[in-house]
Amino acid sequence: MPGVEPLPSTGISKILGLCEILDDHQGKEDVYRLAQDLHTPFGELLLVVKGAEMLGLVETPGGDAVLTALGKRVLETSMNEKKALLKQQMLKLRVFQHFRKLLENAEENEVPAEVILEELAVLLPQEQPRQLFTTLLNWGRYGEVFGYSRDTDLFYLQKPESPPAG
Amino acid sequence: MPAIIEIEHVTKIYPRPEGESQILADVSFEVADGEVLAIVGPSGCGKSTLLRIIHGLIPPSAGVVRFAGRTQEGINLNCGMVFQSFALLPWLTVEENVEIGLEARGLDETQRHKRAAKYLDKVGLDGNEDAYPRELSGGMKQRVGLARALAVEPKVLLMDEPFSALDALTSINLREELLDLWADPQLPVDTIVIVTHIIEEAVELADRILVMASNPGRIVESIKVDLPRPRQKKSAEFAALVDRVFSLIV
Repeated sequence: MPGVEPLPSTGISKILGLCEILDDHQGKEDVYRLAQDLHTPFGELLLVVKGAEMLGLVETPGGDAVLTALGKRVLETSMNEKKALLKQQMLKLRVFQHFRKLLENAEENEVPAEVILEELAVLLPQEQPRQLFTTLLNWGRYGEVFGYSRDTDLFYLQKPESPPAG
Repeated sequence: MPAIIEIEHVTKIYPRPEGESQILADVSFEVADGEVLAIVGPSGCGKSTLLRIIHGLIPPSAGVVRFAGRTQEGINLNCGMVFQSFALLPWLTVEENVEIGLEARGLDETQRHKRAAKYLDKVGLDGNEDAYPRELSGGMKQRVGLARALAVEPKVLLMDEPFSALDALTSINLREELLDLWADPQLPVDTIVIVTHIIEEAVELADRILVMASNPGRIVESIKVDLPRPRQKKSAEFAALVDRVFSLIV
């Protein structure tokens, strides 16, 4: 798939924390100043801002990070609605569309993690596949776009039903 | 509001080869039902020891702890505890870590699954049930710690520096989510005692702040936080309160 976008190496909790702090700053703050206020390396904060921007939660005009209406809504809504909104946003990204489709077309909707890693290496040869894998997993699990079991080393669409107790 | 926890003249002394070491000296206070109480103080002032005494994990050397009017002996099953270090078992999955305290409380397997699912959902961790702790970021690990503490459906949540091991953005996110959980009428927990050395955190979260001093650990001030919620962390009132607490500690 051409044009699959790399995910910045950052987690969803940090992205939501950025939205919270922007909300405290009346929805807008200079990214460099924010890095200083938070004692966070500028480069690391940029990854968080990029992640939030890809999910439509912030915009970045002229060096500022600005909370979008969607970002504000995510902060104010319930946990389940928040996750649903983020899932919706993730599925607008081609990288999630790609792996979702891969799982939908796979037998039993399961794909070995090794295949995901190989696909990442092919799709995004300039990036570090292991790092991308970690980010994809962090975001995808949070948004419930897919699941992953280390025990079976499989990515899956639906969690298999547990056998009845007893 | 009536007191749910009463601490009366609690002292803690540890024997040492060079002589006794007094950690806490004649500590007395109450925690009101439904209150968020923050305990702040410098390192070594005994605030974490005090939290463990409230939970019944360690006994006081002298003094009494009462829960809902009854003198406490042993571990208080009405309390859930969240630790700074997350205290997760690395060989168990997220779901198994949340279920771990439930079997001892007599829940069968079906009930344990259902309970764990409910609280993983509450903290935003559904989808991570079969992850192992090493696969998770610090923020996600602490969500597991929170879900595990909530899953025992405690009346009181005890939190020992729960956000100190996290980066600034993650801790901001988790503090907001903690307040959402506290306000959730579906959750049985309505009283929180949080130990922290981050004054802004105490002012953001608490209805009241107990300030401790060290050598030996004792309470020097109790400050009511009347700021409306959600608290405006950029406001002059917020900053003034932070300054006041800070001046009492240094």
